Amino acid sequence: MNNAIEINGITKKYKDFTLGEIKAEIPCGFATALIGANGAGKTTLIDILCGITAKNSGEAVYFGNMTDIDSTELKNRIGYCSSANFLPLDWNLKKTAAACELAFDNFDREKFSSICRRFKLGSPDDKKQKKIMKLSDGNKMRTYLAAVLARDTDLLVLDEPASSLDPLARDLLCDLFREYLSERDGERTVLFSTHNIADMEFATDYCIFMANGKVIEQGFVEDLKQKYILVHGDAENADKARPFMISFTGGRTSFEGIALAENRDMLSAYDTAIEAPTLQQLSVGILRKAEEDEEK
Amino acid sequence: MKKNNSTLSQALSIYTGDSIPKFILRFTAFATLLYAGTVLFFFLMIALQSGFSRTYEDFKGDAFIAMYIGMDIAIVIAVTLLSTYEKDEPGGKFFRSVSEGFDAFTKMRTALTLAVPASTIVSLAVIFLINTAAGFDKKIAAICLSTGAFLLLAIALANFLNMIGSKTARGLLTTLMLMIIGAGGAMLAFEKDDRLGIIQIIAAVLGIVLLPVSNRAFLAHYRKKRWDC
Repeated sequence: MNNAIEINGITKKYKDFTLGEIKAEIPCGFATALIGANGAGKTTLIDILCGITAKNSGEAVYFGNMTDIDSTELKNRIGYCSSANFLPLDWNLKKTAAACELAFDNFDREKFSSICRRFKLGSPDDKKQKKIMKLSDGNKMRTYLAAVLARDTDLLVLDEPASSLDPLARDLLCDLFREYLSERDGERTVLFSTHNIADMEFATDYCIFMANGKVIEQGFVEDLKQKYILVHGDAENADKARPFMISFTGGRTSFEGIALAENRDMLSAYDTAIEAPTLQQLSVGILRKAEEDEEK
Repeated sequence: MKKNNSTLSQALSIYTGDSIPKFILRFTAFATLLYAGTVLFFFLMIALQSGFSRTYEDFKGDAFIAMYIGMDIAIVIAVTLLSTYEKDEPGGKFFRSVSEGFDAFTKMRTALTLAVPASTIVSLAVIFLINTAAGFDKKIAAICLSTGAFLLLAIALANFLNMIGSKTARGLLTTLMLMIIGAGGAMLAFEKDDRLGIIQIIAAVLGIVLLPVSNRAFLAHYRKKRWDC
């Protein structure tokens, strides 16, 4: 399988935080979610991959053979968007369209107008234009997304695109991901970060879990759902089951948690109910395990 | 069109929304309005106490008229040059993601190195016309020329001060330096004879020589310390 990005040992050191070294693959043709708690290093990694922040070491290989993120050709193929203050606050739709037309080879003004209409933002051709600073957080994010989705790119990299969107807009965003991927089936890729995967579960094909600046798990959602199981049981069996589980939440009457599927038979012996986890349950389990390991 | 062939004016347009001619117009409008507003404000404040005709007579040949020419234009220059679009500021990440990347930033700053002195000269010409029409100061031509010469040097020096790491120190020192040199240039012509002296010529020549040098130094420093970080 082709990879849109291969991340080989990328590191970045700050005074109070170290990223890496990161080894991961972003498969071509799919939507990949970068999942982690706040401060896990998702934004730093995305910024490095898009040339916004310089790395200390390591390499990222894009589309099989491109490594220079500063090259115009590569920058044109990547559509990047951050969640906060991505565009200057005194810009409006018209100014955004004018700047993007000059800044990128592949910006389509018609498409921008069409996405703005779908997001109910108005039109860049309207006489009365609202400055970005006067928009709600959700509409600011919609404007950023419209600007990046209006470009004919091969890879979309979005940092927390859903965090400020209402449920309807999140749903529309999932649709737009699917449209983007299916327009050139197998050739386009989406990478987005999130700390709340529940709303984006149906738009996610591949996952990379991050904690404390490191990748702790990655794989296709369907493979991960086979690798891990969700275990429920009565509290009386909790102590026996716990050593075989990677995350555990217990109450007075019952317990629940994630375990490796290879322990299925062992756990079944303790009168537990076993099912396939949702991505949200899987995320909570994996990230909680990473947090516990860090505390130890 | 391949964007790695974008012109200086297009690069400026990506960042500010203005081409070079539009930028000069906007700068001139701000500088002129700021100056006119300052003079009008003080004129009205004093006129309400001392009467209009007396205030008008006092304003003819007043040092205040000269000083604010330098200071007001200096403020507009400071605001323009201090906008360096850091990564953590609104738009900072967008500008780092544009297809030409740092080349676009380089072109934008180079465009500013040309457009800011040009805008300063145009603003001074408009202010000269306003003062002449109002009949405020006989030495106004010399004051404007002297201010322009000193501000050319100040713009070049501002590029060096823009390399200071602390945002607050950078903002304060650059603004103060521009205002002191701008007002100093105006006052020098006001106090001395109305002919252009050797000091003004030296300031202008030094400014013209230092402008490209300081711009290059600023860009090299910015890339290392504030772009690639």
